[in-house]
Amino acid sequence: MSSAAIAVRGVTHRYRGATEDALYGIDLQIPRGSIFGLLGPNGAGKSTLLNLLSGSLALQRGESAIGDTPTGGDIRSITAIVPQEYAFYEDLSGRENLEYFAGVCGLTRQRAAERIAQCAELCRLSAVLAQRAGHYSGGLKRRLNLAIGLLNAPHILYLDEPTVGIDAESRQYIVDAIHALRSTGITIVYTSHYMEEVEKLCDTLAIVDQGRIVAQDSMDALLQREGGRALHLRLKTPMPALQDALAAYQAEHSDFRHWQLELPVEQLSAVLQLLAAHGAQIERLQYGISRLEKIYLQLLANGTDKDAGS
Amino acid sequence: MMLRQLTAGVRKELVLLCRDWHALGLLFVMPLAFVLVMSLAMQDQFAARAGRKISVVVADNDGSEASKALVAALQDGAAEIHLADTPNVDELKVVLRRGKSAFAVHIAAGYGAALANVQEPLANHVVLAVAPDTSKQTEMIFLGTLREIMARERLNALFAPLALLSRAQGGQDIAFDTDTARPAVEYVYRAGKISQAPSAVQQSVPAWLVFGTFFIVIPLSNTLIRERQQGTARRLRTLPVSQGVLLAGKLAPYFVVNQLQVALMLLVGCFLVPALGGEALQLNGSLPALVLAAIAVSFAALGYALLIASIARTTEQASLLGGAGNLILAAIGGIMVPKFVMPEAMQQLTAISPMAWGLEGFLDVLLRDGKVGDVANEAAALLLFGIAMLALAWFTQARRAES
Repeated sequence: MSSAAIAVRGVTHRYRGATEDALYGIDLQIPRGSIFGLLGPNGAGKSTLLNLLSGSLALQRGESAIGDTPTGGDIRSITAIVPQEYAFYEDLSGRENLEYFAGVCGLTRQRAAERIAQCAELCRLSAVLAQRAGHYSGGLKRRLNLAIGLLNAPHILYLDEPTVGIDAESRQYIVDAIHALRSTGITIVYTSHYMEEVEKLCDTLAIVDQGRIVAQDSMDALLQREGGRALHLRLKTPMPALQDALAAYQAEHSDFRHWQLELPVEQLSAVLQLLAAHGAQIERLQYGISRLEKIYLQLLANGTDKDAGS
Repeated sequence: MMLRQLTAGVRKELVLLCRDWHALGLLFVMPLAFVLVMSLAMQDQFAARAGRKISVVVADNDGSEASKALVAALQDGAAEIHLADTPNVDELKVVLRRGKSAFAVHIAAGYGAALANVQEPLANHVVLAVAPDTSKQTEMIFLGTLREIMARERLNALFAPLALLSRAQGGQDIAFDTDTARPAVEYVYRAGKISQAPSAVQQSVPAWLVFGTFFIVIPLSNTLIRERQQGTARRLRTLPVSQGVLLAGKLAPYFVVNQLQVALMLLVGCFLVPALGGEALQLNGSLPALVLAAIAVSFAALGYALLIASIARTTEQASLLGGAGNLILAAIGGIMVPKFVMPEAMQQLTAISPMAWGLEGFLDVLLRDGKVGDVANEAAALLLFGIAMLALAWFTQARRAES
């Protein structure tokens, strides 16, 4: 199991009082130094899996290890979790929060000061450290949440929807920070509902639904399955005449202005020429964007169909 | 490393607590207000024991030597006499209802003459009117005093001829002074020392001190629940720190706060209450016994707070459970109503309240000059209670984590 940063085999978990398992025989291999995406709808079992991996829930059945150390062992000095909630004290300043968590991690005064400066810099918090965390914007709170998780310089970092509910700028700061962490060799397990973000950041991913892994692969391999053939168009004016002209490309529209087509990349220039010939003025064009979202929805739909059929 | 982790926890809790004005008000201002109000409000209740005189309005319509002797005897004894302007008994009752006196005594004309007639009931000549807010206890004390004086005066009147004869024959003067038949009274709460009677503050400070100490349950449980709700508890569970160190770092500041509460309440009793016109608290007993009582009460209160935190799902639930629980424990524990004025059955019920154990511990020290051995039973009970609460809280929390 030691070739992977995290290895999980046959993990099953049921909460006290529940009639069904929250996780069924989960198998995962998370490569060392990678950013691993964990996707799934609400209630799919992502948080349960993160809690088991981070050691905040006790393993009931199966095996789980960080490197060679079982997750039931002493993994706390090499792992950290950044929960979805603002897991800090709003009545303390940003600096006081960082100092407290550094103290709890057992860092010496000097090491704590170094790490606080580094983490605050990485998360672009240095200018607001003296302010009470409760007065921070949602984006600053998310960044403080992340900075606290990084204090102990963990080898494994679990990020539970670290960009949910914040503005684009703060999201970009966090994404940039995670990009920067990649070069340090840290392994990141990342859950998010933002597919573009996952697609941009993650090397490998697993999709969880109803407690089961429905897909697990490298990002490239997963995206190749669908080929990235979607073309999204927004025209300046509605053009009903295009319906017949684009029929060969499985074109769909909502109001003759927004179109979605399926075509390989080689046919892209031909379609653009066709549009120009019909006098279509393109306001916005996207090709191959949100491919992961489509795969994700398709996989979940397949899972639902199977359940309905069984 | 453990010390660094502990220090970080203690510092964080202290900073949070110092910024929580509501909690500080609850922990310091509320018991302080109770101590002041109850010490000053209850001092009249304790005044009869402390020797303070009872205010009485007297209308002497007899004007005889005997009636004047009755008034003088009352004045010497339990009463602070105010002579009424009105001779009418009904008007006297109106004065009593309006005024601040506890009793009105109406001495009708012919009282002096009736004394020497053993067949004549004195009730026909002396009427005692009682104000509606006078306690039954005070009424019984005053009635006993009045009866004693009237009996003595009747005896003197009956034996007056005999006294005259004795004096004429050059013998000993015959007069009945019931003071010679009184037992000596000693207040035993302060062994080997000359003591005044225990005052309201001597009872109120320990009672409201224990009450205030138990109110640590609200800020502490709220802190723990907020940590659980905000995911901080989840994060802390994954950090390289033992749960024991985290708990110690959390409880230690609240323990210190409890000890500050004790010190503040004692200082209030010693200095502020007398400055406002009440009796001063006497710090009797041994200091180690006082410290032991304070530690044991705090330990029980902290354990109780942890249990409330583990049971309640929200801070609102915890405040309600903790606050209402404290009020119930205080009501049955003799905090709100002193145990000695409770009926026998209620007095036995106090034994189930840890606040009663704490109160008894402090009373052992402050009222009964107790040493460490005197508070050992109460301290042991409180420590066991704290351990039991801690175990229950741990069990509840462990079950919650699995669900």
